[in-house]
Amino acid sequence: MGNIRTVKDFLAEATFFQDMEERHLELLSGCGKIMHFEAGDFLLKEGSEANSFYLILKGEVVVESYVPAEGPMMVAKVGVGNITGFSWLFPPYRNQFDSRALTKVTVIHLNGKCLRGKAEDNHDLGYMLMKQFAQIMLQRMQDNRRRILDIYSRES
Amino acid sequence: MSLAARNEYPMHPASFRVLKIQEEISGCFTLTLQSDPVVTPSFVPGQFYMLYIFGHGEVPISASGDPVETETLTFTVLTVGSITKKLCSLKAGDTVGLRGPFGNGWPLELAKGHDVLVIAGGLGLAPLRPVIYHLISHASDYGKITLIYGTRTSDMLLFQDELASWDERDNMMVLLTVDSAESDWHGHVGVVTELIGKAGIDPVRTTAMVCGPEIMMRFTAYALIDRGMAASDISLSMERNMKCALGHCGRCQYGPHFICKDGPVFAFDQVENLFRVREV
Repeated sequence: MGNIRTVKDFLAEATFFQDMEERHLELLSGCGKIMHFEAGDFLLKEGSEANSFYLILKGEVVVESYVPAEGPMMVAKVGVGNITGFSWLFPPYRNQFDSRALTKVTVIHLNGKCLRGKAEDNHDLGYMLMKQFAQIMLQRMQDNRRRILDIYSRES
Repeated sequence: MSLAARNEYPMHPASFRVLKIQEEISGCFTLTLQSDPVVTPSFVPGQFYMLYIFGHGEVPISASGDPVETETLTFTVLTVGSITKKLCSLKAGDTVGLRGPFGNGWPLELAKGHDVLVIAGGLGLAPLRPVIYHLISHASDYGKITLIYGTRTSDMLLFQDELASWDERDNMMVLLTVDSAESDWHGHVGVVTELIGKAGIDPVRTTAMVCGPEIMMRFTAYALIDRGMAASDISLSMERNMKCALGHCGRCQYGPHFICKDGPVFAFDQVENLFRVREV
């Protein structure tokens, strides 16, 4: 039975959590569980209460928004080792986009309410968590700014 | 006999006939040209020609076909101005003037023994297509080939059939991305820099060749440097309006360089300082 992997094992292997100390991973894993989704299932629904985020272990998730008369428009794809779900971090805790499984997906579901409580009680944990999220949000913000620049349109 | 050898007066255009014109994406056409009389064209991937609409003017266009192709030359042209509009409205049998090839090419010799990372944005895949043909036909000289290609939407991807066939090759990986997509899109969504991590590059044995709008090349070059690549291993194809294409008129001056004769391909360390200068 030695090869059964726990939530903590998966978190420890993820680049996203690599700077976290053992004690923090222990606390985080208490808020996590492994979940499976079928292709087409929604992990997060736009407008719904945001109380979770997901670490993708297997498969691919699309972040999208439904545009009337056009259908769902993808704004990002999230693959193995990456995170989907940021809205649980700040009020009003409302998901801003849909996250939908493109394939069969296995994830670590992390309960944001649980994490917020632990982060309030343990500011070291809160700082580390914010640091990790700030880094990925910065990267995504920069990527999105490049998209706003419409970098492929300037042909001469 | 090459076109260049035949034409001892480099300002004199040779007469070429349009054999075929094919719309690739909206407003973008590939022209297949043959000289009259037929001569064997010869170019190095990355070089460009001046295409002349008689009575209107010339534009520099990079060759986009296979460099080993005999008898014909291929150009992929986007309609952005009056001359490119006229080029794209030509019919089979029409005549255009052509001078060249001009400029240097991609550093294919220096890349031997390396993995090659080809990164294209928008129409930038056209000047890189001859590189890909070369890499495929000389696969034993190179390591892994990765193409990262980004456009605004999936219907703006050039050469879609070839993208699929390249991706099926053992030694080649094709990673596509668009800025936004509908639900049937299977590639990535985001800018090209987001896919560099997926290429799994070894920074000390990779040569990168990047072509696209200047802003895209700038972000891409810095993203590659962030991953440990040397600026000298990153090549970019620069573009400016041109007139003579011979380094005489100064129209394409770019800092201390003339793009027509010193480029269009530059190592990033040659031009990095110019990227920070506005309106150069």
